[in-house]
Amino acid sequence: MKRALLFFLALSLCFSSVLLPAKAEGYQKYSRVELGIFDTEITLIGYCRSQQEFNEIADGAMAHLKELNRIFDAYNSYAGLNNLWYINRYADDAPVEVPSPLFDLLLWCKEKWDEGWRQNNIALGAVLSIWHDYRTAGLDHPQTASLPPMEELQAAYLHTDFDQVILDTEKQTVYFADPEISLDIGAVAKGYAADLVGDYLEEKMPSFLLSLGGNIRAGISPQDGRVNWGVSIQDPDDPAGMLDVLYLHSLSVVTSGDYWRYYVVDGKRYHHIIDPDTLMPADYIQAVTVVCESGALADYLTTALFVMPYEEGRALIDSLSGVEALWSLKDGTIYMTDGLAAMTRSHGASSRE
Amino acid sequence: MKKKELLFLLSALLLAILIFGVSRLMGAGKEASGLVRIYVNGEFHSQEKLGSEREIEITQENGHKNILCITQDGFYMASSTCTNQLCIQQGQVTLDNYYQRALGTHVLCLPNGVDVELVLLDRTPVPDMPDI
Repeated sequence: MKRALLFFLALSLCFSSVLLPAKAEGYQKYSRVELGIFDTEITLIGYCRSQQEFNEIADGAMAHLKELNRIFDAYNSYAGLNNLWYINRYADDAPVEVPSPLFDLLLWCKEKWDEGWRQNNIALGAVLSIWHDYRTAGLDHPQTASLPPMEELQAAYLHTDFDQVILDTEKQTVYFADPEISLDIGAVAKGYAADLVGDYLEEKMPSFLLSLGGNIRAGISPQDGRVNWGVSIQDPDDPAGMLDVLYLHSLSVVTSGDYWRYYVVDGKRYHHIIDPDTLMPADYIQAVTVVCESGALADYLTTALFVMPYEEGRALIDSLSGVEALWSLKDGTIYMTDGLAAMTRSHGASSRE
Repeated sequence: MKKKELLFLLSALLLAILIFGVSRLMGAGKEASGLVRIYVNGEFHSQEKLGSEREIEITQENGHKNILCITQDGFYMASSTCTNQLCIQQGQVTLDNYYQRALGTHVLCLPNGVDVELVLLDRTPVPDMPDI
């Protein structure tokens, strides 16, 4: 009997040493990548009990994102939908009633504006659309790429006062008191969308990681025994390389860099984040990452930090609670808040060498 | 415990260690390999095994064309008809940079809707590799 027991023990020892550690409680990691929504790649990773369950949840998340993409779309019209394109075209005639996600987003930006935040103005559309046209033309025909004339930019700048955008919270309408004004929500829409879809995912599949280009929202801990998700930060000098890895959960991470959307004029790169003071691409920082709970705030802040010197941005971040940031400057220097350093693989010693 | 039983237990332990060692060695000796999976407009298109260097053409009815280069240990986008050429700049995905590449294991050509992924065969995941 004893011998049989010993034999059984020895046998189980053999097997346990050979087999891999078991998966935690039947949860498996699934992922899906989709292209074309929000003009970027969408990645959804999550822990579910079956592929079928994941597929249903992922279908729901992608459908939600596609609908938000239509509502936030500034370049296309859709029958019966008062989206951003529609407002920019018709809100100077009469107040236009808009769907809740768009109205809530505009209201959120307006509140920031009224609190005195001036670095990120979504009413800068008239200026940004000129840059957009020149950039698109420059990418299509690199030989004849040129910069927009400053007079044209300055003339457009006269029509960028957010106070001229009238929001009626009762009727949920938008009205442009200045007919030349135009809204561009590119600097906050993806973060806001990640929040809305993140709320849906929290209910359906709380252990998730959603990425809309550089906008990442992380749910609760991965269901494989780890506490945190690993989110890599791109090296601004080599976008295929990695600067560091952030370990976190239940937070949003947004990175803006000058290395993706740009065009070249006379050998010099011109990226897409425009400084409202100079009306030219901001020239302070190469890349910036913001980590906080709200994806909308993180998205909004990366653009704000991009158009100000590091010292000014650092003072802004230090004045906010629950917000961490990392700056990669043009000279190769990296700065980060203590809270962010604690999340990094390198414990704050990220290097671009 | 009798001497005989102790001897038996010790030999069982030795056997366990031996089996563990041999299984590890066999695993280490196995050549790591990968599959390159190609998706076009969200739909699975085809897959290729890593191996001798060769070019794969991905041509679409709308005239979009990407040329993918498969190598011994990975792949890269060799050319594309897209306007921004970002897929070329994304560089290689290889067995070596698999866990370190900030852009993950994909090369994406957004304008042409082409998504190429390297999938590892017979490799256990590294515990602290980034999820994204």
